[in-house]
Amino acid sequence: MPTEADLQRLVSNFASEAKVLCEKAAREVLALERPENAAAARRARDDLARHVHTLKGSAATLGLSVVKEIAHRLEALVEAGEGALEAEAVDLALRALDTSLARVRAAAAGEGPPLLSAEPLLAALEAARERSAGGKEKEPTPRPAPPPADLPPSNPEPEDDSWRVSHAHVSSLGGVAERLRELRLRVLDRRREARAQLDAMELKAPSPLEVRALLERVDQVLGTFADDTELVAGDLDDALKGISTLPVSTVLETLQRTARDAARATGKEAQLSAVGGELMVDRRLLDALRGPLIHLVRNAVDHGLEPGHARERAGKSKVGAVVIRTELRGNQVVFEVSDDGAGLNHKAIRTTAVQRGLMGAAEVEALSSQALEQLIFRPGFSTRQDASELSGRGVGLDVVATQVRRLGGTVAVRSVAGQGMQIRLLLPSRGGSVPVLPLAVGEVMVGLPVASVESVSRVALKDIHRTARALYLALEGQMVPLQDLGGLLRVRHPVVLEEQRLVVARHLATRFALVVDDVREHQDLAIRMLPEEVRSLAAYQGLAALAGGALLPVLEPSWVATAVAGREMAIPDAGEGRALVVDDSLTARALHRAILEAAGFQVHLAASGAQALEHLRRARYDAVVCDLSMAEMDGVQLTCAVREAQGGASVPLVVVSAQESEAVRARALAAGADAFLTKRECAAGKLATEVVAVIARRQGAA
Amino acid sequence: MSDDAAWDALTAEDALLLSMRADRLRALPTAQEAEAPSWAAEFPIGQETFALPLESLRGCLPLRLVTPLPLAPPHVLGVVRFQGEIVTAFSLRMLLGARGWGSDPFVLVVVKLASGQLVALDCEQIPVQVEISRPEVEGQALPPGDMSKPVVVAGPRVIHLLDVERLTRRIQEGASAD
Repeated sequence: MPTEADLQRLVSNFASEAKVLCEKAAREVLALERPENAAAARRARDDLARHVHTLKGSAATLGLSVVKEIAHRLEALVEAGEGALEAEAVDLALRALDTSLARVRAAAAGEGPPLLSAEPLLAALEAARERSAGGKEKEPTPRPAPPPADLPPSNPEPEDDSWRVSHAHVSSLGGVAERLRELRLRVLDRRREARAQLDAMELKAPSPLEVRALLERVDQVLGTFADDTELVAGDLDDALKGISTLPVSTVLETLQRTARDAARATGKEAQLSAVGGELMVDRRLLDALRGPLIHLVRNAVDHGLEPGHARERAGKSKVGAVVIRTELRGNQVVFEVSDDGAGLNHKAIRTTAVQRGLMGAAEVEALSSQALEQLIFRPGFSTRQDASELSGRGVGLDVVATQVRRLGGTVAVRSVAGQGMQIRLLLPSRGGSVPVLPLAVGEVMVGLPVASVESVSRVALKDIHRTARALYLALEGQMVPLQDLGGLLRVRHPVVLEEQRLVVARHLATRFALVVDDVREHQDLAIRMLPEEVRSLAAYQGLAALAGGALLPVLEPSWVATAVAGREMAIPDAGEGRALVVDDSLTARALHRAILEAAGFQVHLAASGAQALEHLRRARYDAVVCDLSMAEMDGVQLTCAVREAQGGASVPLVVVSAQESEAVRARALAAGADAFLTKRECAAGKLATEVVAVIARRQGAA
Repeated sequence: MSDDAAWDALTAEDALLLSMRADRLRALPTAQEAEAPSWAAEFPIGQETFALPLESLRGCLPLRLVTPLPLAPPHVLGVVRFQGEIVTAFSLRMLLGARGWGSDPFVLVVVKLASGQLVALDCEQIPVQVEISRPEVEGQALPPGDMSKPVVVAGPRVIHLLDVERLTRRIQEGASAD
């Protein structure tokens, strides 16, 4: 016979099971409110009855008589009718499940009986069963008026840092541990063999050939171990992923309930749909995001969606749409919560910002739409009173933003007046690595996630078709937009040459082709988010640390797809001069680039003389600015090389130097430079005027 | 009357006033602390010398470790790893709008901003420690829009002490030189 302690332990264990059962049951209840057809309704009723029956059986076994009775009456209600459940019955069923779970949790926590009696609920379930059994043909009960008060609570759950792990995952971890032990035994065997050979060598001095043979054997054995450990590490990684990740759908089920509750409380109709529910995401991240996502869904329904009559007047469906889209991008997860409501009210945001003293009227008027919309994440916009002034937008959004930032992520908002808004959370997902293909363009190395790469080959110019401003690759009967990656990244003039490496990739349905100088072997890398100061750069998904500590910027395939199709990034505007800055100082390159870009030049950079000559081979430049003191090829040597190159005699060329002496100036001019400036003069603002003057002199001479 | 009893006899308002007064006294520096000099790290930019409060400095790195980030704004030199963290490297010259040039920068100083974030700034030389008297540091207020204020150090020399709060704001807004 079980003791009191045994029973309490069993109830504690049952709490986790009850949570899962109630969640599954709630999902079926929600499905029964709007079933696709009669067959779907039948399936949902069957599944719901099964989950509730299991709950009833376990509760009875553990002596939780009230929970057993609630489950029994709910089961009877489900079995009494057919087809869809009316809204009131759905409310009642969900209340029954919530109450059951709350009672199980209270029992697990060793709390006494609850203050509220379950009798009214039991009576309501019985009455609903009778109505359902006897009135299949009767008119549906009119909906009660929505309560004007607050929304229902967002299903707060007690903190639970324990995980339910399947037997399969535990078994797979056990299998990995077993293989590690086997590997250790093999290592010990090989070590004993090596020891024996070393002992033998002590007795007889080995010949160089014998030493070589031994070392080769050791090398071979180490190579095998490296391969084996990689396999075991991979399996371990998979097993841990199985335990530490969950499908996003586990959160979506709660959100379905949230959307429904919010809609019922506000008298609106809302349909929540999800894309990407099957994706596996770090369960700690999902746990931490549960609250923010509930906030966002409640906000979308409560404040984003218009009432049904207003939607109909605006030509929209009476039922508002809320969509949650999840996407995995390398080591990052994107959650987007969108609604097709009224969008943000910019005027109201401005008024509230001024009223709240966040900024002055002139300052708020000067804000861009994007900056203005970011204000809704300020704490000042998070109170109910503020929210009503803003057509309700902003309730708890500061809490969402704070939680997301705490998790190392970012929040962005996009709104179109009258069409709706979207809030996008970008979060780093811990652990794991993704295969990345390093691509070289000139001296720049960037990565592209292998998942988006279709093929790597060589450019054949016969397959490339040109229009006035675009290039296309004829591939499998399709014209795929093509672009030089260096041109896209603005690090060089875009030129496509025969035999260059060609990478064909895809983002969703969009295919694109990139021309690069080199494609390195792919590596499994952990992609980390860009530092906050540069996180707005849409071109990058993040940064990966390579062996040795160097960083590899990893491209965002959606950006590349858009940029390749857009092309305007790679082709300079007509009339825009092109300048090449050659300097081995990163700071000098950056400064000269800023100065010349401000003067209207498109600027490419080279860190050495050799790189500069490569740029000059690819394109004609209106001006070259070159440092005097560089390793390998200095400015004087580069000037001579430029002047000797085909077409280089007339290129306007300015030599710059940190050294300030007449001898240095004379050397530069004697080598063929059109002008010489000290870097102090450049920093003082003379560079742009000197470059323009040199170009004018050259043009005058021509 | 015991101390406890006297305390109990106070009205809530009196207790609040006393507690606020105690907080103010605790916040005041001791005479010793008030006279203690401030320390800063000075480095040249062109012909001028700038300094950062020493407590904001976290380390130095060679500039060559920076990975350039194509398409980043010009005042962003790139990104670099520092103690396992990825930090953005900025051109301090461009952030300050400085007009001078002594030699090509070759070192990065890693600075903790007022926001708590780490950033790296390029320097022409490895910074050296300099002592600044407390009255110089706490003296004249920084004019609006300025990033640094002139202070006199031993020599006597004038150096420009950077305000980390304003530097943070400039970084968050983007450099004016862009």
